[in-house]
Amino acid sequence: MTLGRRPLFFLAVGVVSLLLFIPTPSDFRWVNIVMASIALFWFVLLGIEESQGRRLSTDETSPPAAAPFEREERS
Amino acid sequence: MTITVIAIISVALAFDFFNGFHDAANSIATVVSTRVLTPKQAVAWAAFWNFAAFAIFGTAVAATISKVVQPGVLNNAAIFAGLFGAIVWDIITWFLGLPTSSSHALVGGMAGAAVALSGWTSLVAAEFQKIAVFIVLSPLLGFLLAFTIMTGIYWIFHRYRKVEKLNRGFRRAQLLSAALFSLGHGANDAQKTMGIILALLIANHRLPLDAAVPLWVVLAAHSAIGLGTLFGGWRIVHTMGSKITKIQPVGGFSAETAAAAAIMVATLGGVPVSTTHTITGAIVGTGTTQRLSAVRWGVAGRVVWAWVLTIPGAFIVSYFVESLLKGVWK
Repeated sequence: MTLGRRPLFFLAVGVVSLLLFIPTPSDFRWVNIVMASIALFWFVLLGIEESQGRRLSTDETSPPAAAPFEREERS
Repeated sequence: MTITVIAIISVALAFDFFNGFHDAANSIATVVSTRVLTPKQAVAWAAFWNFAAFAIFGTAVAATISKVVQPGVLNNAAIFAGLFGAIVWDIITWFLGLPTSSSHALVGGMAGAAVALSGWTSLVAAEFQKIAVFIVLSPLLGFLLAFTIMTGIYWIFHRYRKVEKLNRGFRRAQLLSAALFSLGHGANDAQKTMGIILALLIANHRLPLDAAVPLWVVLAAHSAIGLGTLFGGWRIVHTMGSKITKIQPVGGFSAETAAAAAIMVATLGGVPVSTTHTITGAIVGTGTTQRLSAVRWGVAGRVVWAWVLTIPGAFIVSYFVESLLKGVWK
């Protein structure tokens, strides 16, 4: 199973947040924990979504997916 | 108060004005690019909230900025050199249309002047560490919050078919999110100038070492940043509002709300963060809800390079200005 770039991007953000835990002043370390939690949450969710094949297209070569708030074209 | 002190306070306020001018784009790019407000209306709205921030937030960020250099090290020439370096860097990046951080230019400028005057030991490592960590954390926090807010909105409204009505609703909501962001911008960025003026007044024995920021300094700093925003920097609006990713009202709302939350957390904790970094991270976060390729990574990469170079760039300019000045300005 290969993961797409989006879950991996969130994993990387989570890892960076955790790596910065030690240099972060102790008063602000909760920020690192909150950030890592959010990033890992999205990593897991997007990973599951991709592995179940719910997303039809995530790679750059596919045509762009319609944005939910995109105004509909009128003919 | 001597003429020199008054002149340097004027330069500090000019920097604050330029900060508002340079960063106006951050506050209004999304509302302008999504056509919620005209550029003139948007800058007036942002300027008002920039000024209003003085009534809500304390001065913890100003205290941090005034402690970046060891107490008693800075003199008038060094403070002037630090401000000069930051202003020169801001003008260069404004001319190139790069949304870099005025805040980091100021920190780099003050550091360069202090090192030229008294060597590396004049810098307070703990304060620099705090600022350095948040250079990385603030855009990532903006990114994560924006992605989460945007996805939450999609989940809530994905069955709702009245797209026009939704877009109209989010256009109106953007007025609130732009106000929140401008409030955060005014609070965090105006305090950086307050910190410099506080350091100047302490260096000239106008205030004791543990003094709080006087009210006139608070009002002057907020007025300067508000006026700067009113005159706005249009080159950067283009980069922020359209080049990084395509923005719709819901995206503008999510990005501004996320960035405002991140900046307010930092402001209340006394951390000087870059409003530019934070909103850029948030805009990338909203783009990522579509696909990673919805973000124009080439432009985002150019912005990141400008960030990386800001502290060293302003540091070098100020270092040389202070080296020249210290021989002639006693």
